[in-house]
Amino acid sequence: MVKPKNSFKFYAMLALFLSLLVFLSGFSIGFLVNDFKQKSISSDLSNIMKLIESNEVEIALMNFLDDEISCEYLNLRVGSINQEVHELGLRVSAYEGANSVLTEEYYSIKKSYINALINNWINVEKARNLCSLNYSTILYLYALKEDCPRCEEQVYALSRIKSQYGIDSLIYSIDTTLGLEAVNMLMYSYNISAFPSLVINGKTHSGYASSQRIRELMGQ
Amino acid sequence: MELMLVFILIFSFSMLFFSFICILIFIDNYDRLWIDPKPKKKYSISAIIPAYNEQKSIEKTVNGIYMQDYPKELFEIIVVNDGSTDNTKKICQKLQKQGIIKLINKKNGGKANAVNLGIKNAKNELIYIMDADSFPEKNSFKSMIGYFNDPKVAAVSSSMKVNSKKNFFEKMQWIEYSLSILFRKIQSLFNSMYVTPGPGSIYRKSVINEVGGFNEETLTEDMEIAFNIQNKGYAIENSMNSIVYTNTPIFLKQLLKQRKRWYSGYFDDSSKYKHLLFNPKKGVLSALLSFNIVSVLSLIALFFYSGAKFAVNSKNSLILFKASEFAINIPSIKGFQILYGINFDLIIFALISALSALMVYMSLKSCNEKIDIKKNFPLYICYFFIYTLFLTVFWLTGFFHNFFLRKKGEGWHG
Repeated sequence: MVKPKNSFKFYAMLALFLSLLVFLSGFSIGFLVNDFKQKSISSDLSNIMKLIESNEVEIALMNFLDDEISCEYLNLRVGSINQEVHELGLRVSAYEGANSVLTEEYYSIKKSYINALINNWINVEKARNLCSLNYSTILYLYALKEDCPRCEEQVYALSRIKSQYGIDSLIYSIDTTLGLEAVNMLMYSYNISAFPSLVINGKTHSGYASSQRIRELMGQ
Repeated sequence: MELMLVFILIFSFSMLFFSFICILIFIDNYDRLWIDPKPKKKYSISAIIPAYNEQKSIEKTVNGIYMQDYPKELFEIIVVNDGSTDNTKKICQKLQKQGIIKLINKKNGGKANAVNLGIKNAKNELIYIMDADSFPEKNSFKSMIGYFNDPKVAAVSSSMKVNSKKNFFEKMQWIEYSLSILFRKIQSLFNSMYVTPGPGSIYRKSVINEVGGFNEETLTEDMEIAFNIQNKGYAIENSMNSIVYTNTPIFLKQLLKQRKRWYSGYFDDSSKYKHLLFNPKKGVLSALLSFNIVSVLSLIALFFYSGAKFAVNSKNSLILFKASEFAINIPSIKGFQILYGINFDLIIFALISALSALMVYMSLKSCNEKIDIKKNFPLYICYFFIYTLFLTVFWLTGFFHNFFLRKKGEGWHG
């Protein structure tokens, strides 16, 4: 009979130890990566918030100067800020997709992010009216899957719009579940009671809108 | 926490644990895996080949045994023609005339029935069973018989390799069988083998008689007898040096049929010997059987859960496929953003994949198979990500067949 060097219990204990070690290491690495992601999102957010603040001053200044050349400048600024906001949005959504358990710290960052989005949207609307800029703004208001079964579908329709119009369509995804006062005010002002809802160039559309319907609303 | 996440965590941990056990045992006992005990006396062997419509392979099988590097006077070959309707009988009659085999003709009654008849007619103390679609290397007998020096050893199994690896399914089974060779050896080191495969296993005749012969009412008589033997306190060994080549299914339909029988038989035998499960008195065999059945049932549950979830979200899932082409057109996704998609599941998944790849490498190395990572890399990827899905479906089919479709006492008549 060929006997093993050690008992099965020995191998099982060692395997259990290694499995736990790997699991704990996985948790630790996951935790570190998560921490890095949160910090990175937070730092990007504060940079964007500074840009938005500066943009607000630029709009006020332009209003004061009543200068046509400033409109060209503002157009460029709005474009670059929105590009950064959009990239941050993708990171936020990738982060949420990868983490089924989200921390309080993350929710706090997300609240700031949503506030920044609304701030940016206000600036763009102001700039659009002031300089007749060619942008279309879309506020997309969403809720939890249980309250909004067609939200996922709405995202795909908006993705199609984004891929078609690129920087000319500015889409702001607003999470209505965070209890933000600014969001409540928006919902009240634009008469939003169902999800998904879209505010396209200042006009409300309740319920799911196909990409074709969004194109029509953008053209109006 | 989401139910799916709990499933994934339990399953991941089990897979990690199992992979580590196998790797540790393999590395620690590497030098003794190929050591077979030398026989202390001359053992006489009766080789039994049950054959049903095996005209294509029977001659090769008989020759494989006849050409064994073992004194001819110490073994006999008995072919039991189980009511074949092709030329099997004719070919066997020719071999009988040449004095190579003893032929027994009977009405079709199933493999176990044919083997039992062969045993009744066998004159020797050791019984070598060989499926008629397989053939051994010539050192097979010599490698295995030394284990019978120990009176507690009731059976010794061989290492099974695929005979051909030309098409996709054969290649997948090549990896699968290579992994099994390593697992079986590890199991045998701890007296916990729960199958003595049909091709190339030797049994002590007295023990077969003691346990009442091969069960004719099961689909997997080679598994049932292994349970039965160990239930009586006997041991089963494995020789890695005794290589047997077997023909494997080429097409999906054949493979599904084979696996339905295997896995249905597994559930049937496990139910019959349920007292072996979660029974500390039965040692490693019980631990492995319990681990195996929990893993299989979790896999089936996971499959059901995912299926149900997919069905509920099917509308959205279909849109997801449709939308993906638009999503990739978003210009601002940069490579750096991939980092934001990394999570704990992904890290563990990568680790399990790496450990599984290591196990495949060790198995192939232990079988002296040619390892060409560059050439075979797509094969390994297919094995992990595609063939394992097929295996899940096979397990599911076996589960349903055994518990819902199979008639009580239905044996294998193939």
